[in-house]
Amino acid sequence: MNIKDYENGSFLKPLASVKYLFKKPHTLRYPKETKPVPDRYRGLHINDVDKCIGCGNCRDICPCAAITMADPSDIRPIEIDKKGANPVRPKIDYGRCSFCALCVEMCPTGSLKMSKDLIYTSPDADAFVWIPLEEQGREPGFTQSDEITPLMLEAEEMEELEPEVRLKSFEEIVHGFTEEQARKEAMRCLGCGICMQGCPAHMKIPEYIQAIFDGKHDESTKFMLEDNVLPGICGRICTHRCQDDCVYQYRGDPVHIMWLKRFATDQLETYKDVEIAKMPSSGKKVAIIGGGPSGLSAAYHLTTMGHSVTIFEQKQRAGGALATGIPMYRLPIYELDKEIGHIEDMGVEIKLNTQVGKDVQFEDLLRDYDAVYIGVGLSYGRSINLKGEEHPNVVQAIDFLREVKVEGRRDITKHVVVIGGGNVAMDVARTVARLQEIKYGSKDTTVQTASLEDWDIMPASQEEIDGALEEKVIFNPAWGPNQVIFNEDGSIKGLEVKKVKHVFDESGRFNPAFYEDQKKLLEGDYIIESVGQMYNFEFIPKEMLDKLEFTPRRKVMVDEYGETTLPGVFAGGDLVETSKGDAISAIANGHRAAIGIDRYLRDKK
Amino acid sequence: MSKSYELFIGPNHPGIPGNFSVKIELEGDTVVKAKGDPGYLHRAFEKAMEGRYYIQNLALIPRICVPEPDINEAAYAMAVEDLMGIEIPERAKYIRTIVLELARVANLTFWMGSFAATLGLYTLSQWSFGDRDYALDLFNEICGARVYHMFIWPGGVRRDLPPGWEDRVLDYVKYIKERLVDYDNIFFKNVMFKYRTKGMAVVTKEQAIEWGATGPILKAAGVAQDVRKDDPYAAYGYLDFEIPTLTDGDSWSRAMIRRMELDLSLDLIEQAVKKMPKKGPVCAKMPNPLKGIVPAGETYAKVESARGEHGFYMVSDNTGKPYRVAVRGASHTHMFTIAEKVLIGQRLADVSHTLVSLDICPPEFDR
Amino acid sequence: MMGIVDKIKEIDGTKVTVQRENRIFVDVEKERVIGTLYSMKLIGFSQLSVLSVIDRIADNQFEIFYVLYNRDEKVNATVRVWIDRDNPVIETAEKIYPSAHAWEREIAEMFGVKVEGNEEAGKPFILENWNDLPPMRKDFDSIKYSSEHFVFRHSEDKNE
Repeated sequence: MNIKDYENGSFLKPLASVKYLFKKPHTLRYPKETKPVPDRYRGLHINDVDKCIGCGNCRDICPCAAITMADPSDIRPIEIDKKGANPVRPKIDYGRCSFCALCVEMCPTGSLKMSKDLIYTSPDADAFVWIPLEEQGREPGFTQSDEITPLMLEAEEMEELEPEVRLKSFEEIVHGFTEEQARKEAMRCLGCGICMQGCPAHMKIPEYIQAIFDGKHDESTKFMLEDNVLPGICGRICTHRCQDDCVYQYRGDPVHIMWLKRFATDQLETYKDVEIAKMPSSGKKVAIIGGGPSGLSAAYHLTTMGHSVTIFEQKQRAGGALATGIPMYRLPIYELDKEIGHIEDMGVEIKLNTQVGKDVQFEDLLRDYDAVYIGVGLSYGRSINLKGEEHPNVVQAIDFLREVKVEGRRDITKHVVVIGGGNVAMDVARTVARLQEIKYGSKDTTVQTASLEDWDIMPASQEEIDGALEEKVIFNPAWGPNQVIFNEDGSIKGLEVKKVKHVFDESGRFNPAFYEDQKKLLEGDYIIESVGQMYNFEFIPKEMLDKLEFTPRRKVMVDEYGETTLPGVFAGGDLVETSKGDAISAIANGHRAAIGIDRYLRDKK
Repeated sequence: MSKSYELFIGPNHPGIPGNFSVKIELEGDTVVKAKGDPGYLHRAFEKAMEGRYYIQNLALIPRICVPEPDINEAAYAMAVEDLMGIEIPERAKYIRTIVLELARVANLTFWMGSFAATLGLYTLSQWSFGDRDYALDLFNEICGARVYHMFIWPGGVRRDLPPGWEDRVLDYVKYIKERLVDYDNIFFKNVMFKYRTKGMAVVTKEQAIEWGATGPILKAAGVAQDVRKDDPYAAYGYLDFEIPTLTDGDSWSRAMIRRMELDLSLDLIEQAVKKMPKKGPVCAKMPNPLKGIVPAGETYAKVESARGEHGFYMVSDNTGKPYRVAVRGASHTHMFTIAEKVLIGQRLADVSHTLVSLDICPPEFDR
Repeated sequence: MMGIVDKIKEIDGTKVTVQRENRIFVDVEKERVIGTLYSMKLIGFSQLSVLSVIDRIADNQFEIFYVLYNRDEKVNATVRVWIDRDNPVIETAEKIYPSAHAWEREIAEMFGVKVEGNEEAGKPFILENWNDLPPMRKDFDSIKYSSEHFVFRHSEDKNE
């Protein structure tokens, strides 16, 4: 434009506007004509309350404090017991809402959306507060995007040993986070606490992750020890149900809660400097039978409550399955020493090599102690009555693993068959693979598993299955054991297996059926049975054992505080129904039994 | 006996954009004293920002300036990015540029309407408010809101452009260019406009510099100062443009500077759309907003608003919330330093259009 | 030709930090602030962009900052001065930068900084009948203030 044209004003030029008298107006004739509403319109909210998990991240990010979490059951019942969810849903005060849609961006499930509708009128100011629902019939507008989101959807990569390297020794596979990685991973946590429901011990996960993020590893460990006496061990071998519940599962990778826990505890050489509240001595004595995770957990918490505790452990090490079962490449022995050492430092007496029923009598314990806790676990292998299993080269997994881990066994044959598809079977198979690599350089060796379950229902965790596959373990899913086939010289030729029709019957019970005509031979000269364990109550005198009641699933009947039908006798760990067969649930019910014992002791007088 | 009397212009006066009052003392109908009286609009944004996470302030910052909210978002985002040491993706820079220029177009059309209205020409405000609405529709498409966009955020922009939006923005540019011919005819080349504004409320070059003026006031007085050119942000460094200046420093020159800025903005949108990378990320990876810590530091981020230099002085203390945010709106100086002086000697009928000619935006000092 | 940074360094009593090419921070003592601002103006920093305060409550200090702009060199410099929080007094800069006048009124009101030489500083500006701590101070709790002075409306639970 040339400014000179504007210098001299004109009288006539404004008359050019007259032409607009004859032009079509721009104004829309509302309500006959309406403007199209764009797809990204940020109007009133829509929430799919069935998809929503009530995590409260929308409330936390709301700049206007417009969102509260409310019970929706009056207007729209929801599934209350949904796993990994709180039974509340966002309720929005539209007097406060600024329609910034940050709640939508932060919604981990994607249930919350904005709609294309912004019109709502009422003379009543209270009518502007409601729980958004899908049924309100609004058309979706602004939604979240996976490319651009304030959430950090991707987890930190964990460094692991390569399969070729890790097979050569029992060295720990997972390297653990570096400081920087741990901080980044801890930063991902939204602090909503949905994970705490998944954890059997209900650990204070958001708090300890926040402490890791702040670089306060001792504070973090303190939070862990409040509910879990073996955090470093759980940081390695836990079944991490917390991660399965993590809200990131819907849009990204769950936070590696387990590895964060490991990182924090690894930063401390001992827990001596962690401040732990300890109650004054009560003068009460508690005997604990079995030094496994549940026994250790009960002992530790009872000690902090001021009672004096003695653990009777049959084996030469405390730790139960952690010490004898879980292979070194998953759980190094020094970690066990560190955490059990801490429990001993707290004042727990551990009597090793002391078998109740032989070295001390159960009745004596009942007499000499104020309460007794049974946490002997399932420490005997369960036989499947396989034809030919009496042969010395057919062994139980639990014995095999103990021999390798504790007694330093290194011999193995070239062809091994493992029966089972659970995590223990994976431990066995991967241990065998290492022994074969060490002894034969993996030349001309095989290790294969046979499990009733097919891939889709295999009980072992995916990480373990992947690890085993990387280590060249051969799987035979949906093949059940039939009998052991022998050579003429009496040595084992292999295991005959038959195809599985189904594992569970129509009512969902375990009741395997087979195609009797489909059989094959898995060649191998050594067979390891890994189909489950059982307990042994021989140490309990007959007349008392008769009084001990069991649940229909042959678990020890206990009340909510772990007390059995024998007064003053408590039980926990894998013996009771609440166990899911992992360390963390044993630790959890050990802790709960400790609270029960404490109550019992206080009520006693 | 005193001959003077006091009059309140505002806070609810049609000649004042926003809730703001100017107390003027008059003798006859000549102003002898003018005093800005802020406080009707104060929402303690700076205090509120200290209590919120960095990302939560996204809902607050656009409200600091209603007609042109994007400058706040951009300056805020730039300050956070500077403190965190984040470089935003190329495409995001161009999108920011287009959005900022479109916001300037929307603001200038809005301003034209107010200015013409204070001079008594309401036709133009009908037109220009309508044409501004087409720009708001374009904003509505990219972010789902017409006025408070909350579109530019730390790390880049919140969403990529919807399909076909570039074409629609070019159509809009073409449409406004055609309309400007009529705008010129009815207003900028109108003899009445010239008579009412020529020689009015002069801010000379020396005064503009001394008083700390920025934006159109400074450009109208002959100083080519513009943040877009002097300290290029977003994609302005990649674009080719000249800052318009005039010499008289009167109300007419300021209006004409804004008219020239409108041309410049339309040109910049065209350039940016043409040069913009067609694909690519539009937002850098940012930390979890609930935990994201901004390293301790101080920074000053500034952008060029339609009124002048608009800046955020931000102090962080290694937490998730800002320690202090100070907002510098161009109108702060323009009102309390310049308008209070320039109004003296004016006639009452000229007070309103002088205030609009200085483009006083009350939320910028009442924040 | 002498760089702008060297020119600032020549001013007595300044500690210069260069954040990046066109963002410079100049720390001075309280006694020298007006002299420094004057010298800064002489070397081309003719525009005052922001004048405000940071409440450094942990150190019991107020940090007053003046963001200046040099349009020839295209450089922003921030002059920072720390003053005692218990006795916050600063000399006015309005004689050097007329636009400082309004900013000083603002800091006097919002932080309770006493500005010597500015006649209007301390008179009501934005606030009206204010009788509490200056509101921008860190120890002023706005939520507490609101709950003491206003009645909150509690909406009943209603749904569509």
